[in-house]
Amino acid sequence: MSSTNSPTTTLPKLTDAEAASAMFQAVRSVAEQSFFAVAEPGDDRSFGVAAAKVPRWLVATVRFEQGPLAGSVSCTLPEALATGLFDAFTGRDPGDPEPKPTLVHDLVGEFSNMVCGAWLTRVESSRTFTLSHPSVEPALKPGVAGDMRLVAAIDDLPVAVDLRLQPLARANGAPRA
Amino acid sequence: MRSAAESFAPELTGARRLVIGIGEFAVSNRPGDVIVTHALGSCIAVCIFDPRAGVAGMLHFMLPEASINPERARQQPGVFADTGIPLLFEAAYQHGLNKRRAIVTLVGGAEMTQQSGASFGTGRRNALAAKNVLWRAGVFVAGQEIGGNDARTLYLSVADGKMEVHNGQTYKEL
Amino acid sequence: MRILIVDDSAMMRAMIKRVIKLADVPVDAILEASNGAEGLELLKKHDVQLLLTDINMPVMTGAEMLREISMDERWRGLSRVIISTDGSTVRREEAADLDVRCYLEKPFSPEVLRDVLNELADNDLAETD
Repeated sequence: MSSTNSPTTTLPKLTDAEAASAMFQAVRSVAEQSFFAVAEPGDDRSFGVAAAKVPRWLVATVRFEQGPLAGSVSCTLPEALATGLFDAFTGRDPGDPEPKPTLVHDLVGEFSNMVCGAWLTRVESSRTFTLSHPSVEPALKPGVAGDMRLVAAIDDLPVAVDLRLQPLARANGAPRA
Repeated sequence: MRSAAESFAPELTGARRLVIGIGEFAVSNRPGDVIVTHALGSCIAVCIFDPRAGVAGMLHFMLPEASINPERARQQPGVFADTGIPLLFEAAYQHGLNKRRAIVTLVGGAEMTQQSGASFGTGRRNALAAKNVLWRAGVFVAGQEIGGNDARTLYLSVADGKMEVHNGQTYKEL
Repeated sequence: MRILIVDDSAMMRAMIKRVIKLADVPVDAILEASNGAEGLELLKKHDVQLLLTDINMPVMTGAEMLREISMDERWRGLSRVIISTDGSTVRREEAADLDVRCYLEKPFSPEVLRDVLNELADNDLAETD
């Protein structure tokens, strides 16, 4: 389901496996409830095979702060999936004009926003958090994995969710060791 | 406890029992009719009812999208959610159903495990596909009896839109 | 009823608007804003009965906007609903202190929002009877 680049990744109260599981549950709940899309867990090998067939991607990143925890969540998904999610979310009729790229980017940003928020609420429900406005960029392939990468399939298309954490000392404003 | 057969007893009322199978749908505005479908495993039954027009309908579909098998979709559009649900509504409109008054219920979508113990997740996919199609059509889902691991039998009364679900062990009224 | 939707995602506003239009809720107008500051400006210009707002937004958050609203008598009758990804207990408690009537956590299905709208409309009708 996921790979963790940094063996020293620390999340308050959670092991990496718990954090990854919470992230998948967040992805699944967002995909199913708001986008009527099927989310299935993936593995690195099948993700790699599926990703090689995808010509264009969108990467939506949301930065967060939750108490001492700060970082970002990036959702990387195929452009074809993004337009499918757009249609599902908005109820767009196939006969309607194609949506402008800016609207699709907005939608992908909101997807990432919901995944990040749903994950943070699962990780630490007693703490509130702040989220940045999402930034969305096109890409030709998935980038380097974050501190934790979850790979999954949404509507049978490959998706990667990367969590990047700021060092706790830096997040607290203390001098870096 | 009354059985489903006793609850909806066409022998007593003289009404029709309209039995539908996979890929089929039925619509009626005859108050005594009962629409029935059996062996709802991973399939979904989409039930619609307009209380003012007195119209009820049911579709029993098996797969989420016609693109899975376009040839079969041409021959049996009711097998797929995206081609079957519009047909159900079209037939219901001809009987006087009003979309904004339609009460829509989804039943089925069980996860039927294979002998190996694995599940294809078809039940979940079907449920999501039905919700997707309905949302695109601007129709809310009023209720659902979805999931689990047991096949269901479903009875829909045209007179009042009431439903009874039987999973082999228990009955449940919706 | 005039409704104001405040969310920094245009697509989320569009989805909420679609649910409102499909639901059996008597609506005269639906206004939109992309952050709390824009929301306040619209509230000052228009007589709004129902506010649906996100929390995390640039320029001014939904929480900051709601605090401003709660300090102003002219908006005492305004029904407030939060629609946010933040489902933390802290945020929910804060919402209760700001006279928020309903807290809807994202993600949500269209039916859940429809039910919230119907309940608010029914309660408002009951209060005016």
